Amino acid sequence: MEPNEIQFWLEILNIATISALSISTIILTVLISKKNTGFNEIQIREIINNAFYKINESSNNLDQDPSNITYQRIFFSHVECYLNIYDDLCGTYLDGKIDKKRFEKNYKDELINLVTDEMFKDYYKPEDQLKSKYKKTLKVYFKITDSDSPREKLLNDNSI
Amino acid sequence: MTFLEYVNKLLDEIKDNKSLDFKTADNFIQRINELNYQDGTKLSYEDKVKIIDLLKQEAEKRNYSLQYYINDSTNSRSLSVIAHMIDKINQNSTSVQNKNGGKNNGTK
Repeated sequence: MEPNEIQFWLEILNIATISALSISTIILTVLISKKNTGFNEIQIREIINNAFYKINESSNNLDQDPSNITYQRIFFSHVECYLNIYDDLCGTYLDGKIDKKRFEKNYKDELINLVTDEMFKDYYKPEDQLKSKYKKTLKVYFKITDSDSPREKLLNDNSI
Repeated sequence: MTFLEYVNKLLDEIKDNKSLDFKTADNFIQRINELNYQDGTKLSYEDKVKIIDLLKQEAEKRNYSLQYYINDSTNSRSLSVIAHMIDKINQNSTSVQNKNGGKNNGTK
């Protein structure tokens, strides 16, 4: 084999090795990111469940002694914490830091239930988005339900 | 009318269902928020909570249900209607305080 030929095959081998490494790196990255996504989803679910468990617990305490100011404050704080978790989650969705399709699949029904639930609807006030403390949640709610927010409705009405 | 009489009057309205759902609870809260003392001033936060406390005690005496099931896929997560009512009163006192330019001292 000529020296040039050896050089040629060495370069081919080199390129093949680099390509194989690159492909395996890409596959690994995808696997890791998938693994992480799954892990994050489990973590998020756990955080939401824990937050609800806290509300449940403090609601039971408050039920036993409604006049107890400490129980009242703990309950209000747990409700706010629970709603903040969803708002932060919606923030990551809006910033594109989360797989949007998976988010919509996993949380669409949950968010609709949350915003329209008798227990929490006064916190969201979908009819008065600007006054709500949870604007990110409402923004996602209007997006995933394909409905116009009151603000957009107003803009659309004005454009006609 | 005393608080106890008022509470029993409210509970009589749900004697057929023997349970207090969120819609009825919200209606009760709206009415409690509109109550005045004899001198015409609005009821304090503490007295509104006292009424809810009495409502809970009297409802228990009558064996009325005070649990609310959260609207999710399982319908297995429940919360106390009493806690919700206190939350609503707090929200109301917060918004009144905010409208008046003051800070929320509804629970203080």
